[in-house]
Amino acid sequence: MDILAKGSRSGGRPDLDELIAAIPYCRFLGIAIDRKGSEITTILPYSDHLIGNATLPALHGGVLGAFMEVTAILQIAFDAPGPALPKPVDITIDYLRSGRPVDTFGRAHITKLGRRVINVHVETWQDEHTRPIAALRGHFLVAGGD
Amino acid sequence: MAPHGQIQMPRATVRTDYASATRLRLAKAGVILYRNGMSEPTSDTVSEIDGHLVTDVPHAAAIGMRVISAGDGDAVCFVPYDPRFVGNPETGVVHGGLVTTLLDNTCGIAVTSKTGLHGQIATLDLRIDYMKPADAGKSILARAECFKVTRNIAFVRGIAYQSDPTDPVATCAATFMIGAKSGKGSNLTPAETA
Repeated sequence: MDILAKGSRSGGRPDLDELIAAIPYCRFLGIAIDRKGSEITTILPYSDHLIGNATLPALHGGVLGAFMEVTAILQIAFDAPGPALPKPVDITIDYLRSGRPVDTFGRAHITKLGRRVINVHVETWQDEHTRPIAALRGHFLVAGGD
Repeated sequence: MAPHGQIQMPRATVRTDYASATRLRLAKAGVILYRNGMSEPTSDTVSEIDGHLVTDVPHAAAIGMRVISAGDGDAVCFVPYDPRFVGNPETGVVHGGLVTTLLDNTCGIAVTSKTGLHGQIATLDLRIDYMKPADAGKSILARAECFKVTRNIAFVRGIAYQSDPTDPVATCAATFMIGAKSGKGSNLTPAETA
């Protein structure tokens, strides 16, 4: 992608705001970013179309999975800048609490930065960071590997 | 010459044995989804009228998810291709998160079709292996099989595919909590229900 290539060529980091604006699915979910230095927090503002259980109501499990996957991809694109977006190989999602109809936040931690494969851990929470609502552990393939 | 370890078979034999060979391959991968004599719907054969739009799950309705069949612990659903779901603007390939949502929901429908406990299940754990990117412009189908239900937990396996169910885009394994809280507002804080 141009945005990634631009950041990669200059040896710097990609502009993450520009990156999510360029990904239609991130726009569909309404994902935003709050970056403080190297700390990236993703934000999933509440919207009615993200609900999976209308009775409770609770956010769709797939939405939380997708949100955490985006969080992981952005963190990798920032920490290991390359010419292409990282590709998911496998992900495991633990659902810990039901996602209430409020804003959700996510943060990714890279456990191992390999040359080809990157191991990432992501957590999402709503009010308190110490009470995560879901967690994701996954492997992503970066450029150079196939 | 055949690569090391690979047995070259006469073409005709391969063809007649295709169904059982692929069934075996999926079984080895932990996915047993075939029933004898059942033809699989594919991206090349489904159309919007083949499926019922999911209306009771707002996000499923938002992505246009449709159910082709559900019953006895087995569910087949699909999401038509939509440029809004693209994850890589260079290739037009949909985001992995859409596959996650489709698989999660299809697994849930498979559980519901076995237990009859509508709206009282919650995903506990979902593991997805991405085999290959989905082809741009084509629907993605998912087939899930709930193969065991205990008093508290339901176990499900599933695959996501396009033209060929034996060449999946992704496979998954999931567990669901049975009899999860289902009362209106039972997951909200007092301030939120006020």
